[in-house]
Amino acid sequence: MSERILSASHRLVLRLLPARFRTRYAADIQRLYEEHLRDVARRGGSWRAFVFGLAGLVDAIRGTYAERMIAKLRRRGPAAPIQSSRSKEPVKMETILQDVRFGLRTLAKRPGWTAAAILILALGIGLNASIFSIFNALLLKPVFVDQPDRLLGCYNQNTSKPDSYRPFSYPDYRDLAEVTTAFSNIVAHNLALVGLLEGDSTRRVFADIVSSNFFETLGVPLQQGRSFLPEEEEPGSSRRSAIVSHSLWRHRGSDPRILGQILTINGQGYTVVGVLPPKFTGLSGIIAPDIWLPMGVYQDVVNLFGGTARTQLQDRSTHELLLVGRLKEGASRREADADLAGLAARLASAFPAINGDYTVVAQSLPRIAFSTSPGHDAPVQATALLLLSMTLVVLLIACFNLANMQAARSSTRRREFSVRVALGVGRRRLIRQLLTEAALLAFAGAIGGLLLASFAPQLLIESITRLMPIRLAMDMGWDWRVVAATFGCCVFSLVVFALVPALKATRSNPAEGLRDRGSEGVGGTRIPLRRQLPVMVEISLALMLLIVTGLFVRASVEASRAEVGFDPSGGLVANVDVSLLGYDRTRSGSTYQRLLDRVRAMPGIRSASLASLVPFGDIVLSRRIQRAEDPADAENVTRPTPRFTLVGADYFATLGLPVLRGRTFTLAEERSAQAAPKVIVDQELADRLWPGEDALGRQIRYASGETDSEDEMGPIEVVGIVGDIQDDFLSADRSPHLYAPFRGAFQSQLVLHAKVAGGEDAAVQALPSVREAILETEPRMPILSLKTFRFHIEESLSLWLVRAGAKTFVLFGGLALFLAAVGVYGVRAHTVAARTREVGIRMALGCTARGALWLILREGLLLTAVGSAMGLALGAAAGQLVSSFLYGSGGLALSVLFTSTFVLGSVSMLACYLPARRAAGVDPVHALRCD
Amino acid sequence: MEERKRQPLKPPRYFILLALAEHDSHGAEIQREVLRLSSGQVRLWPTMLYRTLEALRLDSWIEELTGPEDRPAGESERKRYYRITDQGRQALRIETQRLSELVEVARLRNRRRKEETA
Repeated sequence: MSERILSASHRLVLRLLPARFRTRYAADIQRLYEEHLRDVARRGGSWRAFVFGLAGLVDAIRGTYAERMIAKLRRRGPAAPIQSSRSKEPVKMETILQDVRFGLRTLAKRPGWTAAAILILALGIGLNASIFSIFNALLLKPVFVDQPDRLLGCYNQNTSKPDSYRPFSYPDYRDLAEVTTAFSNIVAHNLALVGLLEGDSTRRVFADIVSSNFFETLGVPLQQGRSFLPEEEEPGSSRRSAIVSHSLWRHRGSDPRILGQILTINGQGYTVVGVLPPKFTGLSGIIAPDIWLPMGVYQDVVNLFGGTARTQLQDRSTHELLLVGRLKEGASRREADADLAGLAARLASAFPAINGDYTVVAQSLPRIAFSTSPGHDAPVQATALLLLSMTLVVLLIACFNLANMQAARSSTRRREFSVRVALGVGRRRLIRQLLTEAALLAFAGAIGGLLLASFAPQLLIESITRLMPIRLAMDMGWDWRVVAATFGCCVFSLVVFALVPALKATRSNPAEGLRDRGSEGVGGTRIPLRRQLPVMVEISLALMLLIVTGLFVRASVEASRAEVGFDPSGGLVANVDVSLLGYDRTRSGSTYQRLLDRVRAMPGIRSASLASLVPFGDIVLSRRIQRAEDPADAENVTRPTPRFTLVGADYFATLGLPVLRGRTFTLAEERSAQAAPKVIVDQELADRLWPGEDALGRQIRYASGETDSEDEMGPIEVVGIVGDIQDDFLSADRSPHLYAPFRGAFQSQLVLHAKVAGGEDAAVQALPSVREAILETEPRMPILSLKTFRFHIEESLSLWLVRAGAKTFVLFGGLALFLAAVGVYGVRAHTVAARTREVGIRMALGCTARGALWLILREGLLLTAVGSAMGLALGAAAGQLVSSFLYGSGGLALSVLFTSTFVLGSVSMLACYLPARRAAGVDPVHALRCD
Repeated sequence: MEERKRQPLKPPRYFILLALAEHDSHGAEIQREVLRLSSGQVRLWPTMLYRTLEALRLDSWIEELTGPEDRPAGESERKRYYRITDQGRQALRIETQRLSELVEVARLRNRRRKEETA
């Protein structure tokens, strides 16, 4: 990628060569450059090639410049000694050094000004570099595998519903992998959360269950040990081996003799056969598995959140695997698609009942999700763009600020310029001088920005990892992309804040500049409004950011106060997972029943229940359903996908969710497989299925493929309607919910809910005794979490996202406000200083101090008003854009618009008032005398 | 011209002349040869290489071979082949002479210094 950009830039530079030289040599030069680049890339890797290519680019730029100079000299006529000028090239290095030295001296003369400028730039650039490095780690940095762009995800697509995908079965995977012609290899894998025994406690880590060709296909060499063997992949194989990540190895003391040691995973011993290299964190940009297990142990470790029975991997109707293929050398994506489509058609005709409706497509691998359907990066990309454009606005404000400061300064330096122009210094030279100064500033700012970016994103990541039980793969370190982006910011700011003022400042007429005092006479010193445009733009951009900030803050406040629909006070939640002990179904079922009985009998516990999932948890499961009376295969039938939870008796009372009509589940429905299947829906789902009608007593049906259980295939009666739950702060829409009883089928990982009599304080006090009760039931029970329900919501990811968004924008908005205030103050102070003499004369002629104050303040008011008006328009537009992300805010809030404008207006007016007061307080005699 | 010939040659020019002294050659090969001759010290980046070649050509120290009979059999016509001229050889000789005299002086001085300290 970078090579292509480099050679394109190289070619572009060569186009600037003088025509004579270009037509003769450009093609040769370009060819040689590209040959070299390829050569270095092959031998030294892409980083070496990048550095090498950059050096070649510099050579081209230098050469082109020199050739142009020579051509110019030649054009000037025979007087110029062409031949000798060629051998004595115009060495510009000296003048550049001279400029740099002069620039450093000038900057050092005003250390305060220089420090402020560098700080402003460092903040602006640092913010950009920080946000960029986060998204770089998420979306851009390639995962550590060989040639990641040759890896494609394979997806099992439903032919009649192209939006619908499902995972692959193991037999389908074998068939595809064996006969594919476009891929050199296809791997299968699936993630699972497993319990890893460390000392006496069980830690939950991510494991990737992979086919035996996984590491070989990805091109990841093991640091120690071996990869998995084909016999370890056979379904039901009893060979328990594991490969550990480098970080897990380090976590366990970097033991050099780790190979052959036994890890206890889900209560069973696994032999460590390999250690992975440090940079390899799996296939995703976010989740970093710590353990890799062979496909043969799939049934022992896979998570079953949906409560379906343990399925057999060798069964063709068990669809649970994700596939990734490596394209053969020379094969294209289109060939891969055609190949897969052909294979899928053969599978479909061989197994019409299972594969009849499905085809297989290849798509690029998403960076941030493991999913059965392609294209999961889009929302993150959208967020990235939004955040990056906001940070760019902050940088823009910072630049306008500097432009103002620079302009104010260069107007005082006008005499210096005039003298130099009069002495024969060319305008070009002057501009170069100013640009060198600015470049020094920008460079210092960029370094400060990079420093900021080296620790700021890490803080953010640490705050998110505290909430999540897993290790994140995100590596925030700089790479050439971050450095390039920072450099880009640097150049961008240079152009915005330096080039324009430099052009303007040097356009002055030397005669006028030299005349003592110039135009700073009695009248006519008012700086025309259009020259104050940068300040107004700055004000408007700052207001826009403030409005967006306000929206985020309001959303986070509303979210934390939000009506969740149930009563969390006095509630407790415990996440437990007996499968991590390696219990089988019967044993885990009886353990859970004993646990439930034990907790229900505890004093102070009003009620307790089990559920497969918990509102505001990290996992959400959905099932597609339809009305039972609608035909199962009809096209235009409402088929909502409510969030699906398996619950026990007393669940709704324990959660504090009101039952609107009908009944709740009974103890028999909780425990007995003989109980007939029933469901309870929430109001939202009832309204979607039967709008305007009573849902009680009606029947639903699971859409095909949603359930494996025989007795759930038919119509299922709705026995109750409960209130709605708002369990997502990121969207204002309520999602529908569907509840079904366990009917004895307790899955491995469950959430124990309990309601304590006596409110929140009692709940906090009950925590230790609940823990004791759990451990009394099963002394080794892995308690993955135990907290009060309120605390659980406080710690939930969706609330974190809203709050982190609010905090980020408070930072942006605060920074923008600060920069704008400094900018307005700087410009006003400068204008006022220039008019001090005028004020003095006016006051000598009888103008009052108040009149003088008003005179000065009037301009500032106008400035603020125009800027705010523009900002309101911008802010309204930006607000419309972001409000779709936010909880609660149905469109723009007038209060937010008003508050933001008020805050910005007052700060801006204060910044205008301070210098104005100083001017009005001036002694006329002094003002008239001062130069 | 005489004046210039007595001036030290810049390393890229000297090495290019040296690379062409034995046989005719083209851009990429000259570049490799220069890198080898200078033990990796003088790397001629593409633009620099062709600019120096052009300068040497304008000085008539080297010439570009245009006829197909000049290039080795089987070589692509896209490659520009160069040959050193008599003037170029003279410049090379003068510079080599200068350098060897310099080396001689350096050795002498070094020896004298050693004897003094001894």
